[in-house]
Amino acid sequence: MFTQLFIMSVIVIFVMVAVGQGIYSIASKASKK
Amino acid sequence: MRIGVLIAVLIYEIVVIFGVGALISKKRNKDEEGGFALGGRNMSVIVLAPTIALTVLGTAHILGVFEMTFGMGAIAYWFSLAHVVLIIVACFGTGIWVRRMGVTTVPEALKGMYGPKNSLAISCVMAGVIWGILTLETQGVGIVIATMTGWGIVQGAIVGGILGIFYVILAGMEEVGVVNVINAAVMYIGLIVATAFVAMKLPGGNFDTVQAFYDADQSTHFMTSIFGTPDLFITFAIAQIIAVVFCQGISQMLLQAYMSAKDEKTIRRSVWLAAPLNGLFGVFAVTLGLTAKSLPQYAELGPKMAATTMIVDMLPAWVGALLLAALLAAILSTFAMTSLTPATIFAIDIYKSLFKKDASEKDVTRMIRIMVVVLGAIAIAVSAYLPPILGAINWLFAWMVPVFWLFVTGLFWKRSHGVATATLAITWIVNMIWTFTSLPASIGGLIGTLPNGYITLITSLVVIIIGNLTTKGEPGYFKVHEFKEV
Repeated sequence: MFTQLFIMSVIVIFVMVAVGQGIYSIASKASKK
Repeated sequence: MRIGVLIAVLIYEIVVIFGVGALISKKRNKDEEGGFALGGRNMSVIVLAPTIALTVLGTAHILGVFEMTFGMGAIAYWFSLAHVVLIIVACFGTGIWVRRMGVTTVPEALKGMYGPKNSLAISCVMAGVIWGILTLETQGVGIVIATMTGWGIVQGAIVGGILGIFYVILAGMEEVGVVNVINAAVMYIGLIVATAFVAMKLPGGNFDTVQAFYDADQSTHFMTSIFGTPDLFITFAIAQIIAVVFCQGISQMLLQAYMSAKDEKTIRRSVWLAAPLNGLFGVFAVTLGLTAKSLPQYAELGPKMAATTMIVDMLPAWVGALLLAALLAAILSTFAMTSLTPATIFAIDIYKSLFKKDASEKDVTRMIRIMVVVLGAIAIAVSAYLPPILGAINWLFAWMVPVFWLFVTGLFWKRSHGVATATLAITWIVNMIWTFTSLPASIGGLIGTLPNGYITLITSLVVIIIGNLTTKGEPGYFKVHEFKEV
């Protein structure tokens, strides 16, 4: 149970950060144009 | 009473806090602007990331998550994930913007956008809200020490409060940062060892029996999934994200760490360490909460006592000491920031801005130190008379929602002093009415049960949008002021 929760959490956290990074990159490119 | 556990942990805290404080205070240039409050704006990733993570990881992540897990299962983990979203929003949004503006406080940033009167109102309310969180952390440190050692809650709050004051008062932000790096390591070592010991005490030496307990009954099967049920996901998980992000995303409590960063790149890099450091704490809290509920002898104690009693019963003294140090690391780091940040607001936005405009860096630092002691002492004094932690935190958070939206719309859309005044006044009055009158009960239904965060979110957006569309105002701050990336 713990391992399953831990792995799921790591995936969710890093997906969230990657999405944040992606939105930031797109927004900063758009604002420079 | 586990007096040995208490003494060992207190010695550890004293050595780390005083050792780091003395070293940094010797090194620090006392005349450097923002030296005490912002660590000279020189924080690197390795110091900034744990500081961000631990600032918004406190009592509610421990006692609150234990309690929520008991009732709704692993979906309670979204309280932690909401803070991960908060850290991401601040690392790619509000945190970067305040660093770019080069301000020392959030009200200082809003002063340039909405004038001194609105800024002063925000200073007073923001400092009050953060101090409210400080009183809850003081209560939390008392409860944790009392549960794990048998000491009284008041004595625990006094000792914890004094340690919390010294966490920050010797060398300010830089001290908080370095102590946080050490404490982040201790926190995870303590959590991992304690969780492993609890697992070893269970049949089979792992958590399989806990999983089997929930799987055996169709009505509890969903409790081991962090996605819970669709209903819970909408009413709890999404609601947590809204409440935490819009309330804490503009708070000085979190953003003072971002203002202390070396540059914007450091902030963006920190997110990859700060987000997991903060978010994974919840996995341990949820696992321990689920385990306590699956064991009848602890489940019968109810949501408030089950997990903490189980931990104290199952762990040998040395692991108990390690876990107490881990939990104190989480709570004292938040205590330190919730005392430093309202003290900074008072020193910059009230003392320097209104009473002593020519105050030197030494004067400001002295005023911050005095206020840290005063605010910490009052928090200790009132911590024994406080309401339930989670209910109080939700009410406090709701006050900051209009400030978040005024900041974002003021940077990128339009600014009007009148609209800002109206937004703050109407939203805060509505928040008070929603809390202290029978209006929610008389409305009833789903709307009547909405927490304060939703009410202040809806009110703020309605007033800002109608106000900005119907008044002339000035263009967004970033549209007329040139700010280069730092």
